[in-house]
Amino acid sequence: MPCLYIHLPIANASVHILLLLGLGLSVGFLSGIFGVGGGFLLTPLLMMIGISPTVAAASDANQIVAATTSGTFAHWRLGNVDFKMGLILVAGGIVGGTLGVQIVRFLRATGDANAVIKITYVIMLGIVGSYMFQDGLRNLRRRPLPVKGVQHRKKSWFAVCCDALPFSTRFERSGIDISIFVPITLGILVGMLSALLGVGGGFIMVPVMVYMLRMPMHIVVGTNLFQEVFTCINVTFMQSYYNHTVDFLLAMFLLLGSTTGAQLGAGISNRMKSEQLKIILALIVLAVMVEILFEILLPGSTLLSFQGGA
Amino acid sequence: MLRIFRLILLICLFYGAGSFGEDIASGDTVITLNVSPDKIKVGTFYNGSSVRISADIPVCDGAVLVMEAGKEEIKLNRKGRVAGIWLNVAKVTVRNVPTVYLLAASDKLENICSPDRRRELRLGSEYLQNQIQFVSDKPLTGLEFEEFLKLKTDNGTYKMDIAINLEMTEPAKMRLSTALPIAPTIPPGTYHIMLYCFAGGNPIARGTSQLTVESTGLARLMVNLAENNAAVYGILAIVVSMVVGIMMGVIFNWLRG
Repeated sequence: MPCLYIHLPIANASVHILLLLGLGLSVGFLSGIFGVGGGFLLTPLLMMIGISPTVAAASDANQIVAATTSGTFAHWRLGNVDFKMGLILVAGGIVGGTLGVQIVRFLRATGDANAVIKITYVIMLGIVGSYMFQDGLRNLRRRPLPVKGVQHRKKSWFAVCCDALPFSTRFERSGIDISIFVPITLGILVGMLSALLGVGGGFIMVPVMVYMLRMPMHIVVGTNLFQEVFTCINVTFMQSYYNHTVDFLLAMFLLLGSTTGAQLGAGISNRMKSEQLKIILALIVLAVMVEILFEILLPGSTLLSFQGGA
Repeated sequence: MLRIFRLILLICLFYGAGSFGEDIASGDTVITLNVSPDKIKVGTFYNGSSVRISADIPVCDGAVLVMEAGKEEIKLNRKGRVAGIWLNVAKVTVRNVPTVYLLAASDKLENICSPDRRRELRLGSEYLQNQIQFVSDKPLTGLEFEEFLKLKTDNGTYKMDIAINLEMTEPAKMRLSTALPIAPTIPPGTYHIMLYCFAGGNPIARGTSQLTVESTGLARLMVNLAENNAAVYGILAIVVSMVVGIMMGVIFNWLRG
C-alpha cells in the first residue's frame, strides 16, 4: 500500500497527504464562495495539526501567492482591478511586510513569536467571526439595517481626517478621490499583519476598501487579490531569506487543494444560500478562535518549548 | 620478608577480585545484535519507521537496550502565566542532552539493576538526570527535568517504555526481540545501540550495534537549499506557486469550456 504521509522537511513533521489536500480544499472552497483569501483560517488549522506557528504562517503566505495569482488573472480579464490603487497598496504592503518580518524575527529571538501570533489571531478571528455571524444571522432573518443615503450621512471622523490630508488623488476605476497617504498607511498596516499571521490580508483589506476607501465591491475583490499577490510574494521571500520558515512542500499540497477548492466554491456559490454558509463559516472561524484561546489560557502539556517556534 | 610477601599476595588477590568485578560490570559475554534495517532513509514520503532488534543471549533476569546519539545544547523557553495568559517568561539552556534516547527493557528498570548501576551504564532517567544540566536567566523551578522529558517524549525523540520480549530457546539460551519506534522527528545521524543482560543486578553480557538515519532525495535538497541558498529557495517557491496558480486557473477555465 502506498505511503500517504509526506515528510515536511522544514516543518520536520509527517502529515497525511489527504489531510493537507482536504484542508486546502475546504478552505479554498469557502474562499471561493466568500471571496476571501482563506489564510486567516488555514494557518490556525495548520497549527492544530502540529505545524509550528512560524512555519504555518510562512508556508501559508507562499500558497496564497498561487491562489491570488489565479484570481487576479481572472478579475483582470473582467476589468475588475484598479491597478493604481492596487500599486499604492502594494507599496505600503511591501514596507509593512518587511517591517512585519523583522518583527517576527525579533519576536523569535525573544521567544515570544508564537504567543504574539496566537494572541493576534484570537483578536482577528474573534472580530471577523462575530461580524460574519451577526451579518449572516441578520440576512437570514431578513432584517437588514436601515441604509441611509450616502450623500445625507454625517461624515465620520475618519472621513474628515482623510479629507484634511494633502496629495488628494483621483482613482478613476474606483471612482473616488482620496489622499495618497490613506492607502499607503492602510497597506503598511495590512502588510505587517500579513507577515505576522501569514495571511494575504484580504479579510482585513476588503472591509477597509469597502468601508474606509468607499470603493465599489466588484473592484474591491479584484484589487484586493492584485495587492495580495505582491504582499505575499514579499512575505514569502522575506520569511525564506531571514527565518528559513517556508516549507515549500507544505505550500504545494495546500495550494493544490485550495486552488481546486476555490474554483469549485466559485462555481457553485450562486446555487447556495449564502447567509447559511456565512453563518457556518463564522462558526468555523469562531471555533478556531476558541481553540487558540484555550491554547493560550491553559498551560498545555509541557511548560517548556523549543526556541524558534519549533 | 614474610610480611612483604603477604602484602604482595594480598594486593594480588585484591587486584584479581577487582578485575573480576570489572569484567562482570562491563559484561563478559559479547552478544551479536541483529538490527533490521540498520539504515533508514528519510525521503519525501517518510512517516517514521520501526527497527526490529533481535539477539541470542544467555539466560538472565532481565535485559535493557538503549539507543542514544551524541550530546547537544538545546535552547528552550519556559512558560509562565502573565495576566492570565501563558507566555514565555524565561530562557532555559539545556546542556549535555542526548539528541535521541530510546530505552527498551524486559521489566521495570528498578527490578533489573540498582540506580548506581543504571547511572554507570547510562540507563534510564537516573542517568539522564545526572547527565543533563539546566541553566537559566531566571531561577530554576526544579520541574525542568520532568518537563524536559515530557517535551522530548512528545517530540518522539525520547521514549523509555519500550518492551523487550524474552523467550527460552535452549536450556542456557534465550531469544531477545524488540522494536524501536523511529519517529519522523528523529534527525539524521548515527545512533549507538547498547544491550545489557543482567543477572543478580549485574551485567553478564552486552552487545553493541549502530543505526544510521539519513536524509535523501527532495527532503535533503530542500533543507540544503533553504539553509544555504535562502534567496534562491524563496524565489523558486514564489515562481513555482505563481505558475501552479495560473495553470490551475487555465485548467478550470478549460474544463468549464
